[in-house]
Amino acid sequence: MAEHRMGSVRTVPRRAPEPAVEVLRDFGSPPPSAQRRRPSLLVPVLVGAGVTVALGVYGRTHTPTGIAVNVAGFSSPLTVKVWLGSGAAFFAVIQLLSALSMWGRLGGFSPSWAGSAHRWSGRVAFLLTVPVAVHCLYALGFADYDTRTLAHSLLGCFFFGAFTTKMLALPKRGLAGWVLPVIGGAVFVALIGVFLTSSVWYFTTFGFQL
Amino acid sequence: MKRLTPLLTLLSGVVTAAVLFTMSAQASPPSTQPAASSGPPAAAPAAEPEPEGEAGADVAEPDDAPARPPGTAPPTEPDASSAGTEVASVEQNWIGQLENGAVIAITVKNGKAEAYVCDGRSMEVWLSGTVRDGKIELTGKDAKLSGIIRGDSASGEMIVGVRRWKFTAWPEERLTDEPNVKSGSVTSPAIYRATDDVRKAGIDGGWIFLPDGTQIGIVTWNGKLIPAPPLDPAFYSTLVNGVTLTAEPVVPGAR
Repeated sequence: MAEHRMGSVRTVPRRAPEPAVEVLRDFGSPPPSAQRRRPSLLVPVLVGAGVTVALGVYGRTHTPTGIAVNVAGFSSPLTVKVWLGSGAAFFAVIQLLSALSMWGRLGGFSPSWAGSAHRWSGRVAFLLTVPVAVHCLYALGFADYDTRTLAHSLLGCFFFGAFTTKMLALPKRGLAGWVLPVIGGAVFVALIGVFLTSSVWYFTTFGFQL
Repeated sequence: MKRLTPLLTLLSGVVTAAVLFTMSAQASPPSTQPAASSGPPAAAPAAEPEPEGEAGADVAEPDDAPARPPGTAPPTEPDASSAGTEVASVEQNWIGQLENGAVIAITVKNGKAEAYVCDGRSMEVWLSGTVRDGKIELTGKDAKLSGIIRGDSASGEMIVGVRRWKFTAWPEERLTDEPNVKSGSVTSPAIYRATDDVRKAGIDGGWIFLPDGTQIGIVTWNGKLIPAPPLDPAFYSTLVNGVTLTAEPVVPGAR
């Protein structure tokens, strides 16, 4: 943990690519990079899958009430969700950019605050999605009237599962370098998919309105 | 500490969701499916929303009035329970019943009136017109409704095409059990209709908010009448076949 306390000056993710010299560190023991135990992703993946399935089952079995509490003062409940979802998508893009920056994929642009920006934009994006998901699940349920609603339902459930997996995987040290980008990418893709099948669909169908 | 923050993020999301779920559960009225779950179509009074699963006396009471068979409540019959109370203002919501069991709601304001008749399954009529000097004159598409207000009940008949039904209605105030339900003299709207945007898309919907808190309504979907799911009282919207319909109150003089 100690090295992470100096995180304020860190410009690359804490799971930076393993230094090549590490292999040469100790010839007496088996090659560490091969033998060092990777932390298991079993629990995060299982919990995430459980969340996905649980949301889907709940949305499917629970009778949609058509009713949920109003969350903000917009012209209609739909626009509330549409805008919350758009906000989440906006922060998701920040997520992508800050992640690219953390991993040094934005050229030389890798400011020290990229990590904070990534964490906080993620938190905000996640919290923005929660009221939307509650309304979806409680009032509408898992729907398959058409391709859009089916894709939206599936992606919505998957998003929260993938996010859970990401959160549970984050604290694990020594994950393979591809793990977090892959999970994070899945979360991002799911959220953008949800956004496209809801907010963007709404704006293109009913027009741009508050 | 760093190790914990992702878990805290998850936890805060869960807590937020739990709070919203609780609030949503409380926002839902106890009985919200009057139309969708009503009995067989043939039964005449079946359109009257039977609040299933509600044993509370407070909800059973206001239901009595509209459930009264129309034949037993002729306009001339002074209602004993209302003898002592002052005659309610004409300018408010009138809720009643047709002899075929359909529910009628008339909203009167400044002499103008809007009415909606619907049985929650297969029949609906929109009417508008005037209420002056105790005379109700409403017209709709291929429909005409006329009646008189005497004391605190309104009665008359509605003619649709070649069919004719008698109706009786009472002021919503009287049908509401507790007099303190309403804030001041402002009556909340009783009739809701799908917004113009929704109707432009070829979908229509009408709802009557009954005094006992239940609703009855009909949605026209692809030209077919189907029982309307109840409107969310917070948003005045509901979901039909995956499409959210938003409704707005029908107020006389607004169009």
